[in-house]
Amino acid sequence: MTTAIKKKPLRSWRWLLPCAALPLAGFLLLGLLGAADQVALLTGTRPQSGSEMLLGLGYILSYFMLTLLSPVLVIAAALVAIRDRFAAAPATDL
Amino acid sequence: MALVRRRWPEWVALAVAAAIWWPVMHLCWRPDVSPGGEELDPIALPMARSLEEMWGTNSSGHTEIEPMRRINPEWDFMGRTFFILGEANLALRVPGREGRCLQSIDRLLADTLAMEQQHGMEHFLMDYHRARPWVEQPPASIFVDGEIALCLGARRLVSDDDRWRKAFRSRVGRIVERMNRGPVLCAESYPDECWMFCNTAAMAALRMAEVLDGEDHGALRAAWLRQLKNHLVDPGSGLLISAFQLDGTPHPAGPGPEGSTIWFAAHMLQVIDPGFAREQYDLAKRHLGRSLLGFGYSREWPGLALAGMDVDSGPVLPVLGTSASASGLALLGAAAFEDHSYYRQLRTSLEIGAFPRPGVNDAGDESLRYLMAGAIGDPVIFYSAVAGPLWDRLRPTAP
Repeated sequence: MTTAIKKKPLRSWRWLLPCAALPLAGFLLLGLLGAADQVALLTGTRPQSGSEMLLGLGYILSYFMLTLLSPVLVIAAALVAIRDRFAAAPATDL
Repeated sequence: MALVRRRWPEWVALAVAAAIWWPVMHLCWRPDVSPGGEELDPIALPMARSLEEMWGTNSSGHTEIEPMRRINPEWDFMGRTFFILGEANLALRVPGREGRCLQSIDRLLADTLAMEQQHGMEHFLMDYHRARPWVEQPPASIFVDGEIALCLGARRLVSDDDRWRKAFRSRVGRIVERMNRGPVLCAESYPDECWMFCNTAAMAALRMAEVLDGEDHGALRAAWLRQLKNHLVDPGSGLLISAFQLDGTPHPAGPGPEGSTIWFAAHMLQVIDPGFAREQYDLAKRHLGRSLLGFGYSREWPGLALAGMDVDSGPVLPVLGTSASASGLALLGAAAFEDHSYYRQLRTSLEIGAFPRPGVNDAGDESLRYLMAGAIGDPVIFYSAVAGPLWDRLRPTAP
């Protein structure tokens, strides 16, 4: 007798949520490292070292990803979850 | 229902999510503010406290000012001007704030004049002023003279003081003399390089002299306006050009209209020729003012005009054509002309993109800086938040 191991399908929306959380993690981490102090770099109002510029750029990038992309990914995850739920539902209710 | 049941791909969900979020996201950052209203903008006092601290007791040696000066000494000077204009407006707007504002203004004026006396006007100019001789002799910059006169006049309009009267009148005298000598009634900011920004500021200072000291510069003003309208307007857009040689020939540094000049120039023109000022503002709005998904910004150059980034514009974003300096000064224009919707859109951009950092000062009061604005951008934002009462005292009365 062979045991058929059914592979449980990974729900397709699950990858979206970690992607949405990544910018938040980056933003918080860089914030803890003091990156907020380096964001003046784009104004050029003070000279900065390479590492300070990288820190500042990373902070800005993670912030914009957090505001522009993370909510999109969360909403998309919700939409896909709804899709999966409806797609799995029996058709008899129609 | 069939559409819901179909297993549409994930990218459809992403596209729908973006279509939901991006058009409404500006609502999360949009402040409830209106320029020119009775209510004080909530950022005004916290910003005033931060900047008063920054331009504190040892302005010229401040840790934030000195590194900025090494990049561009003009930013130090212009930051002083915008801060003093902001403080003068705040003094006139908020009962009980006058004493503290005047203290800040006096300290910074004294420091500015001391720096100029000690190091010459070059202290506030970029190094390229040495590259060629000044056409008019002895050398004098309308950039320095105009803005110092503007600051002295603003101080006196809040509360007149003998200490500053003499300095103001001598500065105004020099401005009149230099402008009268120019073939298009404008004076040099740099050698054979006249900037509209500086000349409109100087003319606004002459208006202050009329109100404060009863002088009459009506003839010069009328002739100067004729020169501007006839010779210094870009034929394509109708906007004033930014830089020109002493004889009125467009200068390569700013041969056309620029966002980093025109919004400020239109604001200065409000006390010189309100109708022309409104016309310039409306044209600037049409050619440079933009908004995207509820976020306002200003282009640096109109239409498809492509030019390299310069020290005035700062970095210019490709495609959108926006720059921090143009958008910052658009904030001032929108506030001065009480353009509520554009002002709110610009402030929304500021809130999302300039990294506001609230704090508490030594006295335990709220303070506020915008990290991306720096020591030159913050005074512009502050002035935009309080602009109004000073200019109300200068507006020409209808004949």
